[in-house]
Amino acid sequence: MILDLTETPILAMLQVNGRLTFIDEEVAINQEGRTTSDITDITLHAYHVFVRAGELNIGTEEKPF
Amino acid sequence: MVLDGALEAGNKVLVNVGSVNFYGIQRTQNARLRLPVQVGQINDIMVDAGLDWVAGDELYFAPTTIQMHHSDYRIIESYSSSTGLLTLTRGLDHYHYGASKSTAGQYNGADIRCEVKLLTRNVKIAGDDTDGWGGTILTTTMLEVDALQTRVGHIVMDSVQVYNCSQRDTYKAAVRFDLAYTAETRRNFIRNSAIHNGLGWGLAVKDSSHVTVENTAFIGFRAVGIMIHSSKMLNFDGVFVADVPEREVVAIDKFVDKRSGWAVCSYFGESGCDDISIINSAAVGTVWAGFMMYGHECGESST
Repeated sequence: MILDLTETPILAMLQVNGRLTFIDEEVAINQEGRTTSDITDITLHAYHVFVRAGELNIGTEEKPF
Repeated sequence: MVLDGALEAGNKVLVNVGSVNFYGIQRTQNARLRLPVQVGQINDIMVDAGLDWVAGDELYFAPTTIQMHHSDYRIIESYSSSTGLLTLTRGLDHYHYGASKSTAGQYNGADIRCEVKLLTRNVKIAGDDTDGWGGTILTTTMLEVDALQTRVGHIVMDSVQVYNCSQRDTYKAAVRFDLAYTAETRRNFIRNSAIHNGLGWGLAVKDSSHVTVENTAFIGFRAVGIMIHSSKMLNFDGVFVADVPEREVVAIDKFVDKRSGWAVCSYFGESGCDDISIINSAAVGTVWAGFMMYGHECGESST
């Protein structure tokens, strides 16, 4: 799942049981048709984030965020 | 939040028994003052040239005198990459020593020029510690009895800024490894990151293994910067711990709080630590002690 919200509501609990990835700028432009000016910070608000059986990803080693 | 009925994760927490991978854009973290700066100085502050620092970046100026509390946190108004001259948005509160060349030749290898650290990164984990209860990032192990499965967390944080995390008067550091025994193939990494300004500890590694921390600063925590207990196969290289004053609540007469920049296998008494390497690292502006750790037996070459 891709997180592409500029700002999430404040979540009481977010449990990750798959793969949650903050959207990459290049993906947003090339695959979603956004323009550079559309790209803003992505903010996830939560009290508890529980990465249980999966991954939480921001950027990659080859392509930092 | 409590895991397995034993390990208290706390609230405002990122608990990881899966995989967390955060990669921000790498920034130049380290610089030295090239000229001394005076109280109130706001411009013509000379640091190294050729850095990638820009207006709006946050900096930390380490103390260089016997007054260990003389740290400064400031925002860049402008920086010239060609000259290395900085202008800040507000004047400095303290004097900091600087010189054009390292003083290592004069002081037995010690370069005593003020270390200036960049705190800003583009991937940020921000806690809200207005109630004294900032966030924590916990990597641990969880046994799921129903599924007969043990989950062990794995984390990589590269070029990440963590601030307002850790919880006052607890062992809940900004970044925690607790019961996180893993294998070399799943070694945890914290690199090129700035973890700063919490009301409790900066990093706690307890009953864990295979953690590497490189080129990372832990700045502005209370009582203890980094605590290691009963852990093994930990590597620290280029880790800078600074501005670790005493806690605010020490009000009882004759009560001496435990405080140190680094408390390596010493905070809870001697504790089965093994294969822990700390090189090229520093403790600056820490009250009472920079490093607290057990010595080894005479003639023992490996501890």
